[in-house]
Amino acid sequence: MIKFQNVSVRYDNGVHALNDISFEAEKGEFIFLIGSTGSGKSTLLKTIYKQVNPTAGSIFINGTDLGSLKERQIPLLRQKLGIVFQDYKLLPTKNLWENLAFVLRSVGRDKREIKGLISEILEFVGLAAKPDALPRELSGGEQQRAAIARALVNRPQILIADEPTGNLDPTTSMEIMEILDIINREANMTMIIATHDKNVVNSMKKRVIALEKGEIVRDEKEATYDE
Amino acid sequence: MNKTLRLIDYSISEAIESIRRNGYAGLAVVSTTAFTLCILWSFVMVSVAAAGYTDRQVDRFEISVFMKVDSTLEDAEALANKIKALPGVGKVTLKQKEEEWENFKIKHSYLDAGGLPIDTLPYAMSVQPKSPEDTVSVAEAIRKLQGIDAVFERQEFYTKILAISKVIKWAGLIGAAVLFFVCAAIIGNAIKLSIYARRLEIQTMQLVGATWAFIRSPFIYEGMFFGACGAVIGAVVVILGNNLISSNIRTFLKMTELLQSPMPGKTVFWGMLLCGVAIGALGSLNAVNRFITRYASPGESVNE
Repeated sequence: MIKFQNVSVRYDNGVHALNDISFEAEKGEFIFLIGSTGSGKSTLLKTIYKQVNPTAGSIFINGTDLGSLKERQIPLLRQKLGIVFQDYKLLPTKNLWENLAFVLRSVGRDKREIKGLISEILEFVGLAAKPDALPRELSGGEQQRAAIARALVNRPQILIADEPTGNLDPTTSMEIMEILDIINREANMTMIIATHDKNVVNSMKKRVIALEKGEIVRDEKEATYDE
Repeated sequence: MNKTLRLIDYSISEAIESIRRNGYAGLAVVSTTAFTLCILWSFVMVSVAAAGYTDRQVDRFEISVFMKVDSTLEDAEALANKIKALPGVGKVTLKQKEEEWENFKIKHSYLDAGGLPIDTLPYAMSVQPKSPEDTVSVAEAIRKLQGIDAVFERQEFYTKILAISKVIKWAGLIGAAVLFFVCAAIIGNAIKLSIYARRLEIQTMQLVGATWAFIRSPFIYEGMFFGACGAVIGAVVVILGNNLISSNIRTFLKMTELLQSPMPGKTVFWGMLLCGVAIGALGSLNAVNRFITRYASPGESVNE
């Protein structure tokens, strides 16, 4: 599904964000990317959705080399991905329904189709009662659920999350992770979650890839945060 | 609804939303665009009028040839054939004495022309060179022929007129081109503000895989709307202004030919509307491309 082959990223300022990264993720696999701030977690995620290009090595998704994609093909790649951020990145002037509809409309979905998809996903993340709420009227946990709904509404094959529980209390964090776990199991969706949250990683016992100074220092299945 | 229709539907509704949010800023853009388009179109009209004037003058380049008073009709016809055979000659028109005499009497009615004989008028002909530039050489060649009393060409006058007219035409065209880009820059600037206000939406769209058309087209529609509004206001001003000139100034200045309106009101309206829409689309496309390239280019290396 996802294959990193000797991937390195060096920024213009000379910083080596990733150094010779290689790993594979199968369809339906749930992976935690862990590591301290600046270890390269976010950069690794950005290379998957081509916000950052590797300076060496190759990344394959479903056998397609991302390096061979033309600029006009990048939107098609991104339509297969769902992306969740720590700061949610919801549109502040649009309500919850409009935030989701905006995503679907901007990828050319039909209005009737949009209605069904949004109702279904809001039901799933437990926000069916709040379609008219603006993001500021939602709690942190609800905002993150809304962000997850937005990432999932276009039915992606892969979900990428960058510190999805970074701004949430432990209970809400576990709720969010439960939602992701259900999606992973029920939809067989591949997930790569970058996190610092030890509790979350330790309680879920999924595959863990640990990064340090841009290098993989550990790759274990059913693992915990610490060795 | 297919994807193209959905794109149009989406773009129009997003553009309307953005125009509504722009409020007074939009009004400022429309008024500035109207002003610039007025100047631009005035340049275009002056330029077209000058071009028309030039073309009309070129058609009038002619050499007047007067034969000696004692020449006969046969002499005149023979000379006309000789002139026709000269290099650079386009057309030769032999003027009939009787007709010229009647014209002379009408033009100079204050003279007691009735008592003069027709024979006092010489045979005359007008010669049109193939090209205005040939006037002098053709006139010189005619002068060398037998039986000629006088040859008149107004090469110097027409050359000056042509030169002035060409300067006006080119200045108008260059001015119009410059103003076209100035206008596009003004609209582009307004769209830039709109893009900046919606940068989070653009970034979100990029992340969820919105295509080139879905990201850009709402801004292009917005720019086209501003351009069209500015053009309609500008067209009303230009048409009214032109009518004012037609009804007043032209009466006093006997330059009717140069001041003649080169295009009817309908042409001005549709021309300006088309121009405004094109400028709006171009300005917005440029602005949105620059924004995306600078701030949110997919695949661009960015610092964490």
